[in-house]
Amino acid sequence: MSKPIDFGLRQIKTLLQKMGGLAMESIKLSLDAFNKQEDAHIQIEAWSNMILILSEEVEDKATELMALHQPMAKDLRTLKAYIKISYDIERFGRYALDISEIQRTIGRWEIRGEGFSINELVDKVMRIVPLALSLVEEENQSIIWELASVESEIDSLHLRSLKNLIELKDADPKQLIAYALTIRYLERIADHACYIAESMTYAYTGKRITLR
Amino acid sequence: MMGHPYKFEVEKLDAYFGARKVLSNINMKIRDKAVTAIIGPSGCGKTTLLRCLNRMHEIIPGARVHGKVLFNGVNIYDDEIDPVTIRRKIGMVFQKPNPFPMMSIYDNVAIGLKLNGVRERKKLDSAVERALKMANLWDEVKNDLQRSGASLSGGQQQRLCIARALAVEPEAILMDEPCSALDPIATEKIESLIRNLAEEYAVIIVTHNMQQAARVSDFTAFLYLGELIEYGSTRELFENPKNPLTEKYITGRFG
Repeated sequence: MSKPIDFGLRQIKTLLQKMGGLAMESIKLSLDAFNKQEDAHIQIEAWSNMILILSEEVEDKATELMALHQPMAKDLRTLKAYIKISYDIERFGRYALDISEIQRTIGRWEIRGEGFSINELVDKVMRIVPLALSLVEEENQSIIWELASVESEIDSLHLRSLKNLIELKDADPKQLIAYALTIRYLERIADHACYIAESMTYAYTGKRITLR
Repeated sequence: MMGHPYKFEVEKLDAYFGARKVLSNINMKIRDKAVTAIIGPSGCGKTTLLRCLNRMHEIIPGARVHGKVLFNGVNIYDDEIDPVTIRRKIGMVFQKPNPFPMMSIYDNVAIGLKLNGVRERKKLDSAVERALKMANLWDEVKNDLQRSGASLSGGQQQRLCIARALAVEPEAILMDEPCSALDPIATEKIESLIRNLAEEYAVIIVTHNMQQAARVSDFTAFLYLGELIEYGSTRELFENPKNPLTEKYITGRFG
């Protein structure tokens, strides 16, 4: 039997899906632009602003649901998770924007140093974000374990990338700053993907897990 | 003196109306200086359980109880226990405020003491003032204590009934849906009062209002068809219930 609160929770889920879609596009575009040293800031800023507007809608809707329906148990946990996830997705958008601002701030850099790449880290981040967002759609234990494994790989890649960066011979200082910042932002994006998985696990099962 | 960690210990309690069993094998320990809420759908046995805690169930013709209710470690259903003494130690506040309509505010509060033989005016005055203050009613009625109790508003009448229960210095207070006949403002006053009372007493409240249980209680028991389905900290029960029946009931997805 569908309850009035179910309708409200579905509305919030739809808002989160929209936010997630925009965040994914933002991350993708920012990394592509970073790689090509192109300026995609205007587009990403527009998406980031849309994500912010949607997150305010989530907040309003969640407040309304709490006031009108006073949710309990799984409804309450889901609502709490949605509010937290709205912030996590907002952070995805913000880190994408931060990546797109690097070139604007420090200017173009020269690519020096043979074999240095963060492509593997980027691939893993592009994998972990949709995994996390899929958990907002439905409960899936196997995705949680996959996500935990990707997070652990990202952690290792994050440290290895920083180490490789330090060891770059004759690097352009701008290149060092640009990559150091981007590596950091990617690691933070992965952290927020884990927070989403933790929040949804608590919403679905009532069990608190820590994936990081 | 060290008290018992639990004010009440209910052990294997069954309750009947004639041949009909309305409570089955209830086991629960109720803490002192805390609010315990009993929730559940209509007819699940909430009020019966409450009434078993101060031997009021047996007042109903044909009603009987099996099992034990330990109060401060002593079984209140032991043969040598006087039920009237138990009911004085364990006060009861009912759903509908029931002040004695022909009595003044003062006499409504003092009646329990007078029935217990207290006659000294000074003692009565001080007990009435203390009880009315504890019930957060003193400031509203102190200048007109001879007014009829029935002339008060519904919320004030309910606080008068709480003062009446407190005047005889009970050790625990049972409340059977004490706010169901009250408006939100009067309800808020009673809820604040319940929280204050829990600093000194074990308070057990039956309520249909789950939000009220969540607001005022430290522990919550969920009853269904006469059985105790789940009992634990209020926060845990309302946010993360262990039993699917509790989950269904508190999220309104029952039946």
